[in-house]
Amino acid sequence: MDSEQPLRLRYSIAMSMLPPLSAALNTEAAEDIDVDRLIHIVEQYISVYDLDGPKILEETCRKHFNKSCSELPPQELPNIPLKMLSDGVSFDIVVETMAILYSTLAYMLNIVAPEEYGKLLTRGVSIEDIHQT
Amino acid sequence: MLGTVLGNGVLTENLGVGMHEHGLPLVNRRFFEELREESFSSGRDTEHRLQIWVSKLYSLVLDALKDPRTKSSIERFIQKTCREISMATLEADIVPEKFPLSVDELIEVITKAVHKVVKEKVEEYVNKGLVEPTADSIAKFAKIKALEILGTCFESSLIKLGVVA
Repeated sequence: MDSEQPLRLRYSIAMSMLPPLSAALNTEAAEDIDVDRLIHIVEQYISVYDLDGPKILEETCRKHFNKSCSELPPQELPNIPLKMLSDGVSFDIVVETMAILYSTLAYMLNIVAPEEYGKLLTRGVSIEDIHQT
Repeated sequence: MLGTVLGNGVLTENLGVGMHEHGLPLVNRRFFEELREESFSSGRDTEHRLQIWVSKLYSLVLDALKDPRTKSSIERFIQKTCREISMATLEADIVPEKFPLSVDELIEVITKAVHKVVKEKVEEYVNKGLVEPTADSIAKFAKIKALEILGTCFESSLIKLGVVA
């Protein structure tokens, strides 16, 4: 996927990832997810797209879950961008958050091949680069 | 193609369902070029041609706002795009606060906002030879600028969003 992919297409793909993600998050595999690390990756990625992205992300978690995003149980993580969507956060920021959050979760849960996860829903930013920050 | 991206696991199967449910595929960029050409070949003057173009784009914008789950988020995205375009063309913050059903209503509101900005900077525009220092000339210039801003904003937003074929 590259930056030319329309937002509504990427949104559709992200939404269709929810059922397998939810199923996988209800297995023992979810216990191994490092939420703090995951949220750090998401913040790094969306700050490249929009400087206000990490602030919006944190405000969403505080408002809807009364917790910091990194304190959330893994099962709640896919709901963060859905809450952003219902709050009327700009669609591009919602889709970018879905892209990085869902694709990284899919990788961590081993439901997508490691060599492919960087391509999944992203705008061509190398996730390996983000890992190194 | 998506199967190649995602491999052959559970995700690929679910993708198929999602794509179908959301009414894809989407139109390509050529669609917008043709929309421009079509609009600009049918109007009697610049203002009328721009008006036809904006009206066609606006009906697509209203389509994009039909899904209640994404409506407010997409509205915010379009407003963000309009802000960027109006800042680049007029150095002013011209944003459609509402998306009414009537395109004429929207054009009227934006023209009024642009007219105010043009009046404030009238000396600059007169010096550049863009407008005559008369009420009629200022009003006409404001209307054309408003249509250009709206059209460019909608076209750019729709290309980034993707228009369902």
